[in-house]
Amino acid sequence: MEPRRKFLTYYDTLGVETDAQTDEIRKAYRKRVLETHPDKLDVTASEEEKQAAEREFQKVHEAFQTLGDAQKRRRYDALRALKTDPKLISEYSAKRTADRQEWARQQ
Amino acid sequence: MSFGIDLGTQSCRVAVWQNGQPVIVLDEEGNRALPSYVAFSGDGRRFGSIAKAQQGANIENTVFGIKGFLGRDIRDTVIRTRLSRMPYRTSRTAGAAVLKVEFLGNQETFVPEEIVAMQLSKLRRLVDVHTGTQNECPVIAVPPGFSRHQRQALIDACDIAGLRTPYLIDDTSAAALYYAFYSSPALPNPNDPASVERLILVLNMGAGITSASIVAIEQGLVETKVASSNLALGGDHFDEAISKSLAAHLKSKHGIDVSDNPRSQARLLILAERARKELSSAMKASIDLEAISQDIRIPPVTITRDYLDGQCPGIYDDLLKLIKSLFQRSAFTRADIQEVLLVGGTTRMPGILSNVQAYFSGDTPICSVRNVDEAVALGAAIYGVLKGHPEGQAMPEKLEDMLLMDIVHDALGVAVLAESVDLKGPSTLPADGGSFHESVFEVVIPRNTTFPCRRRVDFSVRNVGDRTVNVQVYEGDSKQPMANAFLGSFELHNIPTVPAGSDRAEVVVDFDINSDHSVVVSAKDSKNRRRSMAIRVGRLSKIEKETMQQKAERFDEYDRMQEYRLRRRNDFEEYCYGARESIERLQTGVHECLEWLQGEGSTSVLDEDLERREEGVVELLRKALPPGYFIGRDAADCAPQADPESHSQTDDTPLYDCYD
Repeated sequence: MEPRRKFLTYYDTLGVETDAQTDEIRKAYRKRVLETHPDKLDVTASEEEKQAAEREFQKVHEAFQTLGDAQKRRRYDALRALKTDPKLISEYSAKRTADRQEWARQQ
Repeated sequence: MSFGIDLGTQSCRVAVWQNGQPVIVLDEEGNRALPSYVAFSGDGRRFGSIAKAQQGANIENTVFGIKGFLGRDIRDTVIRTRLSRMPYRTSRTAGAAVLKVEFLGNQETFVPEEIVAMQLSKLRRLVDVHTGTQNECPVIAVPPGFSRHQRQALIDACDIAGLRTPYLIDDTSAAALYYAFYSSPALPNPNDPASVERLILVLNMGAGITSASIVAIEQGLVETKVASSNLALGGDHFDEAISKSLAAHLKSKHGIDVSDNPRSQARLLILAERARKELSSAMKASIDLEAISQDIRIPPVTITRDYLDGQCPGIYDDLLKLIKSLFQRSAFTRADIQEVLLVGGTTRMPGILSNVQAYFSGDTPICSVRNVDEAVALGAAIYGVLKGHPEGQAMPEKLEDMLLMDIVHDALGVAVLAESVDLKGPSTLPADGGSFHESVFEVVIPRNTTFPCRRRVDFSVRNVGDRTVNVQVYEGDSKQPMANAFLGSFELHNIPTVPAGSDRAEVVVDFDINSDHSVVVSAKDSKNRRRSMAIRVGRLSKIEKETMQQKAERFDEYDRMQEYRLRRRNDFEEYCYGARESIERLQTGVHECLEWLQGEGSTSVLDEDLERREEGVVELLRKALPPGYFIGRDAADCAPQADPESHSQTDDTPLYDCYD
């Protein structure tokens, strides 16, 4: 397996498919939170382990902040599509150019 | 072991985890709550109900309602008026309240932290007795509206009391945790409404402070979304209103003026409190004013619920304002709330319930836990187990899936130059302390952010010649940095320009809140040189705290000695009474025997008769004397074949001997 993607999407953080239902996302979030929250570490955990858990928890929480909110999720999906699909970028900019030209013509 | 404390304005409660559930620890008298009173006298300190009961006799040295002054700035006029109304003597040093009491014949001064430390170590002793082990890790419930200074004051109090690793938990979150603990089913069940996510509004109304928060509960996962407090709203206001009207009644009807008599005022306040609590279940309450004056007979006064509501209409408005503020600060609306959880003793009042019900238009179920007063302490005890269950032991099964996600109560941020805010790009950090009217507060971590969290913000540097920035950290809501609480500042020097030689420089500021709610602010320049500062806001220095801790230990030691002496004295008294009784019995017994010997016994002596009496006296003697001191008569003396001669002889010899 080659490490194709350098950064993880919110979907990867929560471990759900990109077409997951809101209910699934919430369930996954619940599971991940219980796994990552520093309070759930053993009391003997070192400071480094605790800090690592804090970082991990923050990622999970941030992911759910976006994916748990239908509106934010749509926006995130749109951005993600732009970033990952160069064809979409050109399509989008092509559409915008066309729109602009149309507008200029109407003036 | 950890234990949970609900440190209230009027009363404290403490709970521990035992046998798979949190339980309330009783005090020595068997009460489930310890009134927040500390009384000082010539022979030691008194706590709880004993302190409250003797308040009338020792009005100047009985301290109560300290929670409201903890970590507060005395320059605040509200605090100053409240302090001046208290019957105990107060003064101030360095912006903080100081209490003056007469204790053990000396004039002693205490800061509020020390008084709270005394209460905490009292509660800790109760827990130690209850569990039979040493307990050092308290979880203290605080109103979510407590500022960082107030929280730090509580932690300082723990230090003074010698309690290690205290955790603070928002009281509404603690109540929600307890509610989730006993209302959530063990296994998820889609048909059960209790196993899917529920959005509840928790309202905790105590004697002095009211808090409200919106919490999402899904099985064991408790997530606080938004919280707020009103630090000057509570049941006390009803009491004050009642006692004020009682004072007016006494003045107009009976010509008794209590305005310069703190003892009568305190008495009226207690009567008012009792009447208010009675009105929670009864339609009217009668107040017996007999104790106010010895000279005049005063008939009792009857007050009704309507009268009570009429006395303080503003309280209900304030309560609804607090609830509305939660909706203003979040994306939730009134319709999203699925349940309302009422905790705190004041929510027993029917007026509170009907107002909340009316606000939620009746279709949101209003629920309550089994004991509204204790939910917070019990929840804090659960949190103690979640935070650090006893080492080497497995987490209780029921708590395995429980987790509380709490929020930052107030916004945190830095001061930036006002002129840079409206411009595009990052705001500019001041190069020095700067003048206050030039800077504005820029939020880095907004309020109600779930922690642990970390935020990073870029700032530009204004005066490139100086190449220095001053990072000033504040907490609060106001755009004016000065109106917020100052938490600390640090400087970063020799900031490199990017690109080199230009006049642009940037600094990245990180705010990092860990899972114990402590904050570290760090700043980093483009060469990755970093300075950081852990936020510590304590008013007391380490040396001051150590002195106070020694003082507290001395007083604790004194109390323990006093307790020990008292116990010894009582034991001795009991012993003496016992001794007196047996000596008296012996005396009567001997006297009777002598009478018999001179009367009936001098003429006809029956063997068994004599034996019975003899044994009776020996038995009485045995009871009167400790075993080592008792010498019975020789077996030969009691033998039936004994010579009557020797009998008369032994009568002359002493029956017992006292060796030293």
